[in-house]
Amino acid sequence: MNALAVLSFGDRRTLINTVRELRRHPGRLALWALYAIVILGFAFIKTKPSSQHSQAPPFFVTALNDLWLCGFAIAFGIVLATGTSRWLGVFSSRAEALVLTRAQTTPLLVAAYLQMRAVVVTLAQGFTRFAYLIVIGIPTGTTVFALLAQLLFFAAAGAAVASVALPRALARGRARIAMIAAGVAIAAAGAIPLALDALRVLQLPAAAALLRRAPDIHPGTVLIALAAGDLRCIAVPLAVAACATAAFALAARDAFPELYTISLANLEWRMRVRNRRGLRDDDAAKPSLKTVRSTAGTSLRGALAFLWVDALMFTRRISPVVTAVVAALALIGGAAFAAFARHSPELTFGILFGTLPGLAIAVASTTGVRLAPALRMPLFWLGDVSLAARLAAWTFGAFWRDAVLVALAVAGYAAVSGDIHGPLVVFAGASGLLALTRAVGLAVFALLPNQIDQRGPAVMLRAVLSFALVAPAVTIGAIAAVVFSSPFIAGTLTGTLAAFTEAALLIVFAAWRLAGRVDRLALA
Amino acid sequence: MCLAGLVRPDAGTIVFDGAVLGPERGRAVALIPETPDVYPMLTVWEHLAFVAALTKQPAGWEERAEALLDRLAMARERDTLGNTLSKGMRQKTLLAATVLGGTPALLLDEPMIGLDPLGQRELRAIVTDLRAGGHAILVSTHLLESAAAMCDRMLVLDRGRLVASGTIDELRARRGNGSIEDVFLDVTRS
Repeated sequence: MNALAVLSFGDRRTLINTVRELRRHPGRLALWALYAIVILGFAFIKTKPSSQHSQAPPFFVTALNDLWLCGFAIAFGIVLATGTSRWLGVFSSRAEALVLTRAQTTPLLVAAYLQMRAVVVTLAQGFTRFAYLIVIGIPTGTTVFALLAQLLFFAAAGAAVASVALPRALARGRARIAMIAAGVAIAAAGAIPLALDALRVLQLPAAAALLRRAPDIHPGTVLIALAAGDLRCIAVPLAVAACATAAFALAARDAFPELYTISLANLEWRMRVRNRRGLRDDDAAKPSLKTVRSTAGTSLRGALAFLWVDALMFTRRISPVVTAVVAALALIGGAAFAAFARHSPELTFGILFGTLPGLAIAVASTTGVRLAPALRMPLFWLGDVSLAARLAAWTFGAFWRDAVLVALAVAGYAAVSGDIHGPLVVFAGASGLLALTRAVGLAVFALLPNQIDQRGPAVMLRAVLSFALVAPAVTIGAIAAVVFSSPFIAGTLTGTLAAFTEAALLIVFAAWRLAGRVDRLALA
Repeated sequence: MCLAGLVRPDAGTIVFDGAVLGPERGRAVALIPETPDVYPMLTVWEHLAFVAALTKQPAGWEERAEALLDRLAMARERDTLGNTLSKGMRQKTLLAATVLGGTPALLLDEPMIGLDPLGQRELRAIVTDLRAGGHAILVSTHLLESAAAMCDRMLVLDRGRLVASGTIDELRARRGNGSIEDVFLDVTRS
């Protein structure tokens, strides 16, 4: 116990100092409290004391449960196959490595502590980042016991995923090959039920014969068994985590030099990512690319020059093959959706105007805002362009790529359906939504630039703001539709214009908030 | 950062060339920080092209940019990507870009840190050259001898307050032509 207290001293002090630092900022503390209240409130609303019925759950619940289980299996397989040594650190700093490797205790205990810390940190970060997802992703009407049992299972599964990263990073020779093979097999096995569920949801005629022959596999039934009180399946991920921890502790007690090397590589990589986050620099992936033929210049002037820089860096960062594949997938996705729409027009309407906008807001709210490194660039500030214009250009730089993907999907839909008006209306609405969610992200970043806040309350704030600001745009669009007797064209265009106006106002707010505060961003 | 317009001053005004600078002072003063970040996926030339577009330079900027690259001995690095440039090269890229952008005053924060002796000598020569060309250059540094070799005037700040100022000779005379280090320690201890 004494040895554990010594080993954990630095971590405990870091935690205490973080809490003290948070206490100095009541605004941030209040937002974190609000975040916790919202999550608990959602949990309270969605649960009931006990279950009254025991009939089979609808298919979407089964598919959602499959998504959870298979998602964990795929994550486990990927970590086992790749090691992701960059994802999990061993020593948090060079100083810690010097202290812990010289601690007056057995190397076995030091290794076990490092492994357990990696798992606990991963679980804590995962819970902070995805707490909203756990609550939103659990079907309404579940019991309190079921929710707690499922959360316990998720924690055990997360521990299993996190616990194999370090053993895999240390593995060499045959053990390494065996781990890669096992990881690939597990990830592939996890993907099969998801693919079958997706085909069942899409109800494509071409896949009907395949689905008749395919087995009815639903790993997600584990969650249903948990909800019914059968907690045995929690033992499986816990056993995996325990075995991996034991294996790591045994292997690592004589492998401090290797662990130190992994840690240094990891620390340097994190430093590079931290310094250049937002620029999407990938120099580590392209070490051979040193010189290229320079582009002569651009005719875009003022703030528009940022668009040129963004496009230029995008073409250098992403290979043309990847760009072509993603573009083709968007086109094919749109075409497949049009084929699906012929069979289920009502469901299509629901997906287009309910599921997809909600999903877009959820994804946008959880996507990191990488503005801080851009603001730290000396050249960002040159010239007499206003900060609002610079931020607008920066926002548009990320927006146009998403808009092009939507345009391709819409073109694919139009090509198969033969309809042009409907897809154009969807494209206009989607553009407004994309612009709005981007601007909301920027405005919330201006309020809460701290990276930890960005992963916690900022996500909630972005989601709430996005939904709240979509409402006026939709209302204005509906009024225009009635006034001009044009439900689609006038309604959508007016609503989209309202969304763009809201986005512009948010950018102006962000510029006002950020002006003269770059030092705080540097500390964030 | 306050001088460069990135941080709002708590009190006081910033005057440049006889005019009080408001929030737009960032346009007159360009900051080249200790970690001179450049765009990783742009070449040196594209940095200049970007600044020319951003600051709406008139036609013919290309000739001036080429001349700047020659003057800073960077012609060979014209097509080198930012993520492979050394610290000295990144500093030079930013210097070339800010000069091309027509920024009249440059603020260099600890420019010598991390440079090898040759790099330090080159930078001193560039700063002297730019000063001769009419640019106002403010260097923030703890390397006193290096500052003495570059600067006309020196300001000594102690915990945010100005405690001494003057030409290098004036400051040295305060301690019987002693070293700048002695002068610095004298005024900051008192």
